[in-house]
Amino acid sequence: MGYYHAPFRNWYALPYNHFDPKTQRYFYGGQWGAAPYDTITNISQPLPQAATLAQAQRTDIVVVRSGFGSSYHSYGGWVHS
Amino acid sequence: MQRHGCHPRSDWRERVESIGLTYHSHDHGPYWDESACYELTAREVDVLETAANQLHYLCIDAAEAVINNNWWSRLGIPESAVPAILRSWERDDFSLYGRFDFSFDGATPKLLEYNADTPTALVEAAVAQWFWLQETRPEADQFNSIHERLIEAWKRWRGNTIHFSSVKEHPEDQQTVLYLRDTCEQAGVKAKSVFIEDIGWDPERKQFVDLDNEIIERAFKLYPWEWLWHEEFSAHLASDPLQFIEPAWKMLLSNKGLLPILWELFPEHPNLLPAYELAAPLGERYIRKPKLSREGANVAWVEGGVIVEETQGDYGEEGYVYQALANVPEFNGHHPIFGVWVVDHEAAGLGIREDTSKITGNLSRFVPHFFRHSS
Repeated sequence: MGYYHAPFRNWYALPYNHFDPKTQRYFYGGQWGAAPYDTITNISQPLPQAATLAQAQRTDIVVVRSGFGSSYHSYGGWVHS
Repeated sequence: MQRHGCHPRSDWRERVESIGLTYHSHDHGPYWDESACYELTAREVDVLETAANQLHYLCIDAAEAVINNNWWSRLGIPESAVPAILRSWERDDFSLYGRFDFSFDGATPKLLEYNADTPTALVEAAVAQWFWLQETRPEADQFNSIHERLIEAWKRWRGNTIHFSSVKEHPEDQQTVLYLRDTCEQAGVKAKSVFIEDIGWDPERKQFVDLDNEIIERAFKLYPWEWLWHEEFSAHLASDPLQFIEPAWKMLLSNKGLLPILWELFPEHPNLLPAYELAAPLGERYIRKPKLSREGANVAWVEGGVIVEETQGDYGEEGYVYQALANVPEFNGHHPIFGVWVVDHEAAGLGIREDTSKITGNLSRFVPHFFRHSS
């Protein structure tokens, strides 16, 4: 998922206020700025969409599948009405 | 009402395939059959529309009677499903569509059954016959606003994502669900697809998920409720982790066990046939239907106390109902059944299937129709 930027309540590919020596710019909240982002926010909860995306990308959860669909195959495939 | 012989368009296969009707033929010939069509009068269309609108609400009244009287066993509904049905009913969960099947002699439609959970023959009714009309009889009209009404119904879900689900390896179901997904997206609603077999259960989040492990919050399913309730994941349905379309309360309407209840509550209603839970009140002439069945399976035609015609299948475990014989018209050996579509609680269109057998089964043919306003 990358790095959590608390003021923006989301994850990004680079660390918060990451400095690029080539361009002399700082990365925060998905954008580059000439100065580091200055805020008192250091703790936050991710936005709902960000949390959903993060959950979806977890690899430690064992999801069970094929719990629906067995009746169709046992009935020889007739579903229509 | 008349049945006309027609010359099929020379490239009819390509034409119907191009609009999604890829399952236009079965092993015994065409399923989409434009070598014939039905011409109705405007009055006959009005009669069918009115009957469907009235019966839809009579069915809802009957469903309420089932709930109030705890008649669950009369419908063969498992006890485990009852709480979810009741919650779904109380919330008035969104219902997209259904299809009434009528016998119709041109005078009074008679209800054969209500396919309120997993009706199909949708692409042919909503799209294929409409294009057929435009190309063969552009001056005529058709009882058909299904497509527009579906889009309108989906609009209430803007801002949400709906998953669309059918079984694998079933082209007709996949095309039907693909079409419904298209109408949903035309309404501005986000849509994803996941096969029924691929739906996952995330035990940590206690949610159903798709193949991207994204939570499924609401799902259109072309899969019968009575099957869902007998499968492994049904244990997770108790907490309503997702909202299904069609909703659980439609189990009450899609059940032929409702036919005797309708007759009991609304005796002599002109659009109902006498129906009972025992054969005796009907004497020696009746139709025996499983409470739960698909495509006319396990239906028996009884004359003089003897089965004269019967379809095969694996249904009937939940019991049978017995319905008086309908006056199904015959046109040169063809028996039409009139399927009136209900979208968002209102009649929206007509699809006619016909069969040389008196029992319309899964080898029946879909035949387009038209009417003229001046007739």
